[in-house]
Amino acid sequence: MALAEALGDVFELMHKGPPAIGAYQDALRAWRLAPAGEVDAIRLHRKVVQAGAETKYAVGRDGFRDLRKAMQASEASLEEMLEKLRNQPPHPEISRLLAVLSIAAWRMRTPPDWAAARGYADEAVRMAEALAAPVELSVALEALTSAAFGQGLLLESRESALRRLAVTRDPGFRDERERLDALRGAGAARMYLGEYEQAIPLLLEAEHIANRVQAVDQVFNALALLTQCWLRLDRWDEIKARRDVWEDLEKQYPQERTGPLCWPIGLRAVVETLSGESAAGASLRDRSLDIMVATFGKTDWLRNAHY
Amino acid sequence: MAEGEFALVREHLDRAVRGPNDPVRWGSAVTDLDFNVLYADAAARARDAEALGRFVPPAEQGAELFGHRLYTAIALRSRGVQFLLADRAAEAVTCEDQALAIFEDLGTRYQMGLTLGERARAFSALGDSASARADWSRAASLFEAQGALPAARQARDSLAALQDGGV
Repeated sequence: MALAEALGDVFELMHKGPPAIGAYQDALRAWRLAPAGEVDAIRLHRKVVQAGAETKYAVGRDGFRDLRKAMQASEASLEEMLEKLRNQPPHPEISRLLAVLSIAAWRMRTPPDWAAARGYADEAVRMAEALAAPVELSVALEALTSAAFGQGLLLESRESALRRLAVTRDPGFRDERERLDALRGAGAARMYLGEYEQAIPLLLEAEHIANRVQAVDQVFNALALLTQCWLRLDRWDEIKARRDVWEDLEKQYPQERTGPLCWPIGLRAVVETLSGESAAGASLRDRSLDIMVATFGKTDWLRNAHY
Repeated sequence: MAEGEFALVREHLDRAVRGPNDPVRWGSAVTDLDFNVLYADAAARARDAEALGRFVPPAEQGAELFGHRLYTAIALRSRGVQFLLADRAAEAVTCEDQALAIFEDLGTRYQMGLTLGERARAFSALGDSASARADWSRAASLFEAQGALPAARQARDSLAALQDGGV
């Protein structure tokens, strides 16, 4: 079980959702043969849902359909386990489970259930606080940041994101991936409020760490957020200066590793078109649309896709 | 923006508002504030008075609520266009002045150029050709410095039309 789980963790670090989920399912099968403790099962089911939610847009529509069944089974198991665990003392794994259920409540449901997401996130934060567990608190605050955002509470969302960043800035905080995502999350929360000048240094720091730890998905995330900040501030030269970085990312890695490139390519299309490079702008626009249709299909787009 | 282009933009915006949102990690989610400001801006460029009437008020309110300065300025510029379409050019100039001050503070040259163009139109409506010419001239310079060549050409064309005796 431990070996299969470790393999899943490696795939997950590489943002390879389908093999990660496969490995976690292998670990679950091993656990069922010799069930040692329920916490192991909770952790494995939680990782299945987490990997699936992370991968949803990276693998495209058809790829995600194949993952959905595994995720739904694990989510149902987690909800069932949670009911049994409600009266147990706080535990780090329960806090993480609550955070994942929060994310599943919007990413896995159509329409998203933001009230449920908020409820799970609040519970996760309370439990992590009671445990004085900084990594779990950071994970829970990410869930709260997203839930508040979904509820339209952008100021509250920024507050959670900045609190999370402060938690991960503590010298004793050891989880660098979590710190990296906290930087990204704080940058994003500031960007949505138009605080571009404050967002940019956070995102540049995130990009730097992401390159160092080879977190390709986070390089993509940070650079996409930076591109949007620069576009809003009319800093087109900064966007054009990163053209090679985008092209290298696209050449070197499949969408599964990065995330869908349609959004930043669309932003770059805007800059090229407004600069009078209409052929280059049209070419980028068409590529962006092709990626979007491959990822989301021809209809039933998210609000994001129309934007 | 051509009429057909705006129709397409409008179709996407109308469908977008009904779609689910997702705070993906790369930042492409669309908040209600983004949506209202985007719609107000598109309506201003298309001179769509009905859409301006619907989207400028929530854009202004949202931008103020969240302290979003860029969006406050875009909403002000759209409000200025709304005034201009309602033959209230003096109020349009006031709105564009306020928008311009924010864009100048942010250092957003392209937005400054767009706003100067709107203020130039309002000055023209007031019969103040000298101020209109000064704004088109500054807009053209800003667009050129930004590398926004199509917008610079349009600003120069508008300036030339004024110098040929138009208002």
